[in-house]
Amino acid sequence: MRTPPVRNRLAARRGFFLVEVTAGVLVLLAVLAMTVQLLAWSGAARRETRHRQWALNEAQNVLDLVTALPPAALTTEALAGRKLGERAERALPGGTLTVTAEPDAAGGVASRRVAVAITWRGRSGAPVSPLRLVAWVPVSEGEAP
Amino acid sequence: MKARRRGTTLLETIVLMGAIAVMLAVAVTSIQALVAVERANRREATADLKIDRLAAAFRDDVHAARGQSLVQAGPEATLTLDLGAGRAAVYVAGPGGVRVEHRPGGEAPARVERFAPAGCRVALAEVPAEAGAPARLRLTIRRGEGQPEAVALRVEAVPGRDRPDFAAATGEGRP
Repeated sequence: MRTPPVRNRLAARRGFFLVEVTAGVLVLLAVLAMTVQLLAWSGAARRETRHRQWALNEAQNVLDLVTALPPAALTTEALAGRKLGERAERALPGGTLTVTAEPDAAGGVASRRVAVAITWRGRSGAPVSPLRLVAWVPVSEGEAP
Repeated sequence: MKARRRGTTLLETIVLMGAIAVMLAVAVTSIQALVAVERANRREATADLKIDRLAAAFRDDVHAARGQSLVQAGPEATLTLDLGAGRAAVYVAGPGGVRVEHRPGGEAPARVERFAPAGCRVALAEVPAEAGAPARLRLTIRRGEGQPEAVALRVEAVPGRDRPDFAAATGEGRP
């Protein structure tokens, strides 16, 4: 029993048509998936930038406040109770603030080295490497401990 | 019989055209959605940049200020910062954004910048000194309604911090 050659060609043609459509749909899906992935990345990068912007601004706010305090109040123990504001906590998921101050005589000037560090949960859920700002507040002779 | 089956049938052509139409429709709608998302992303990113620039300028001006006056008139707040040597910075904040005017002193014309990314509201306030915190000036930038974080940024800066005599001025309360 041999099938006639024309029927053979037709069967092959019909199969080819189906394969064409399927391939087209698959290519379209792949391109769309890649575009969605790219957009997701760009959205995540933007969120990350916004978090960093918030953290930098918040660190500057804290540093502004802290460096205006009398130098005698600039010790890690006295500054330990400082926390992120409510709004900053909402903007920075899992955000924590660490303020340290220690005597530093670098450059021959008695001063206190005040460091503000802010970290928050990143995309993976783990804390990102903290954003740090450091300022030196000079201490006059009479106030030096 | 053999001759009739050669070529494409009408049914095949219709199915093919239908499939192409469905694919095109899906492609066009999803590409439109993606472009809209991308455009919104870019608008937000531009607004973020503007907010950054305003925050930095405000902090610098407040740090350099020798004196300040904040006048609230209805929904508008006007903050005038005396930058010394006849120079001044004027911040007029309201529901429509903020207008920043830098007066270089003398006859030179003022440099005016308008800062009003879509739907942003800006508020200015003086925060009095409290235990463990000196008096400061606060600039709050809020996004328009329906945005994920209502407060885009809150800048709190201590006036006059960069003045050379700042330590002496605030030293009165020091032990």
